[in-house]
Amino acid sequence: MRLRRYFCFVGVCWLLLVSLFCDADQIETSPSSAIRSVLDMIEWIGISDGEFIMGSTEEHIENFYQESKLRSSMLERPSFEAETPQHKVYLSAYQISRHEITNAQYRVFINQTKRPKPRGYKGEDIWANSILNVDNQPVVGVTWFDAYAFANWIGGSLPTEAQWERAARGTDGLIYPWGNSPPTRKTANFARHLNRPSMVGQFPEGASAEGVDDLAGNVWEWCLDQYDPNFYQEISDPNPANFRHKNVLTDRVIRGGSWDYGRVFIRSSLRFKLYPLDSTNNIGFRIVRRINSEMDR
Amino acid sequence: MIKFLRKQTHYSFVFFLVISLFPLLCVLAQADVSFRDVTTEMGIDFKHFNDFSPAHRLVETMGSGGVLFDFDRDGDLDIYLVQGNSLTDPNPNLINRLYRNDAQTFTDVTVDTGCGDSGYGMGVVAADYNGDGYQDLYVTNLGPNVLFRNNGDDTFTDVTIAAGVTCDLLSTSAAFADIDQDGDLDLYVCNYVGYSLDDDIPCYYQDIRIYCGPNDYQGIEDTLYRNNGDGTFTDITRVSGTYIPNTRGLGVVFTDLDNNGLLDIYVANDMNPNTLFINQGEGKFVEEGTRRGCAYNADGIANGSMGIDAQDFDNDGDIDLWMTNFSLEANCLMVNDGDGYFDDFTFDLDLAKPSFHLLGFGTLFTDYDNNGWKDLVVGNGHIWDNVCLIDPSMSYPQPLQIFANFKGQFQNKTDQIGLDQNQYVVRGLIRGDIDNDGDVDLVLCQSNRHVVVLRNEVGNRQSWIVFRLIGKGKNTDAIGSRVQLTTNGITQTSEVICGASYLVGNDMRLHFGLDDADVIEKVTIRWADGTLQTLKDISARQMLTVTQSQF
Repeated sequence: MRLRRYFCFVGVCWLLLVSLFCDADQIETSPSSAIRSVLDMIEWIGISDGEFIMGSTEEHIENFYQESKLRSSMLERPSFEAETPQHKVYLSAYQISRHEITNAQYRVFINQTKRPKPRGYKGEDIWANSILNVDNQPVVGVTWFDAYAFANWIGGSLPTEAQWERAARGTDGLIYPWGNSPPTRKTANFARHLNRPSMVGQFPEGASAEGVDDLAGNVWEWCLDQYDPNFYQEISDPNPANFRHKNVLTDRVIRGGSWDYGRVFIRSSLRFKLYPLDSTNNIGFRIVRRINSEMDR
Repeated sequence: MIKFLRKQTHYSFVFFLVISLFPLLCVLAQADVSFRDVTTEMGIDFKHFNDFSPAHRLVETMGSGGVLFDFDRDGDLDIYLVQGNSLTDPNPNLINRLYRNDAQTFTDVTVDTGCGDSGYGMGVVAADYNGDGYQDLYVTNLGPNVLFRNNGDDTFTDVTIAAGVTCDLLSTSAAFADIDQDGDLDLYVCNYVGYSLDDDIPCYYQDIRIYCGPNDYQGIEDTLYRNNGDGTFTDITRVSGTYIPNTRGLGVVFTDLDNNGLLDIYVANDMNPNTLFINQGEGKFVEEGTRRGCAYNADGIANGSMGIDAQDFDNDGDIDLWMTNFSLEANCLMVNDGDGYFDDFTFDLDLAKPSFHLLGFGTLFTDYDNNGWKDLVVGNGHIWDNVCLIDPSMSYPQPLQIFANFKGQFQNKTDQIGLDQNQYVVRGLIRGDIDNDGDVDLVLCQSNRHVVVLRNEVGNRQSWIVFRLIGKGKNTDAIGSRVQLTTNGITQTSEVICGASYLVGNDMRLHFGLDDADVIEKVTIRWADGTLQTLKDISARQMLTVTQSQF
């Protein structure tokens, strides 16, 4: 059993390294037509540099926790405590994709790189399911490594947890991307209202002030960081990101909730995690890139 | 000078007295009894019998209900109450009871009228299914249901088999409405799970015997009957689009949720997604509960829904939905956006926390204080008689709750009006103006306990109006008709609804609280067949009968 785990670990590391080298190579050369075609499909929203409020106060999390208990969410108190302390974070300017990466965009990537197709928790073919395979739906059934590879292939990155939260909450620490009013059917795809991921950008009333869509609900979004509930207590640097664990299979941060999760989970400061090799029918991603990056020219 | 000082002292004393007594007066005003138990003085001695056994058989904890209706057309509400029975050795003398209202004294007329079914009863609704002007009774049972035709001479006849509405299942709530606008009343029957006494499953919490949960039994489909217009019905469940296997229906309401003039069907299911059948016309429906946001709550959870009501609580011209749920689940308020799409705003309107440790069954929107905004009344009572052994924070009998509505915001008034002083095991909760005094009274049907009648003592201090609508054709009850009225710049909307709550039928007259208005500027009636009628400058504080034009 230990030997099997070892080979599994080595295999994953190998795949990761290969994808990193491949992507690094692509970044240095001019983009292929496939990459260009995907880039043409992606709309970018610029986020200017500066400070924003990240996390929640003790008072806030107490309220959120009490509400969560009444909502039978099964979230324990430590899930909320991981949002503390509330702190200011400086981020350099970046661009974030307005929408989650779609099936159409991901298909180009798969065809080009021969990486595995999206698959569900039990390995089922996500694209064989007609409620998940529509071109303009966000791709789901991708592991963190899949998402990471795509982001690198396109010349970008997965958002750090801080970048994701800044895009969702603005600079003022909003509860939801659209503000502090409760979510409705018109602002987000959540609580099984549609019982599937919606087409991206279908909830304009739920966009952030800067115009980023679907940050609440629709699909969970992989972030770059490893998950550490104590990370907020220890960071003070600009542009924080957590890669401190040596184990490449450490849980990664996911954010934003999804179509089949309730209101508790789509709050923009809620930190959630997932094993990086897991792929389910509610996990997708979006990407970020530096402003004036090579790919932008 | 001395005289002046004396006078000043006198004024000071009066001032002191007023100041001293003011808090006392405030306290007395707050302790005002809003609802008074008048069960005994009205002569109602009905006690439900559920054949409780240590085996905790599923059906023991489900019933029962009753209906407020005017069977003898004398202008006041009579009451029919549903009885259980022995499950192993049925007693033919243990029957449902009909009490006639004689100036607020009730007389048991069951035997004379012949409507005392001895089945193991669950619920009942009343409506004039054959269009003869007299309200008939449909009783749901464990086993064959019963349709009692009102003969118009103070007697009833069991016409179940001839009418074809036996539905030999474990039926719960039912409702009549004209789904296909052919002028007569069709019938929806909720069915819970596949159950017979022989199949009863023993369930335990640790080593404590408890009543089973819904998932221990296979859910079954509900039944929709089309009225053939000749006293018979046809089961159209499958052809109408309302067939969904494996649901566990407990509450049902016919109401026009998408404002297109056709009555839709909303069903509260126990731990299955609630179902919304959108009426396509001509007796066809499409299930759209999930798409329209009212199948699951805001947490994506299919609640253990029990009771239901549908009214326009926020006076915005559309019908909203309210469901009671199992303990450790908040009840659920689904707010209509005007097009028949819903958002769960239970938490935002402070209705979640007070319901979390209670188990809600019968429930109603009703403007108990006549301020022009429909309040919420919730009947509670756990299903487990031994729940305190499982969770000490819960009790078997629980308080009746009232949430007062003002401008769409709710305030829990349960303690303030003294309802926390009594505990009940409510199943059916019925509303109706029993004493015709312009406010809404309540009837609490309890499990294995006495029925309780609570008279509203405060409502008619404010202005009010009650409409009795008489529809043309066979829908004499005008079920599905909608009334909108405007006073003080506020427009209220209400529909004639048969059924709702849990296992019961409510007073089908439409009651509106009018705050301080003496005159209603405009009343618009959208009759069940879609025709419109407008009334202007109607005086308040009256029971107004409006008959639809025959032409």
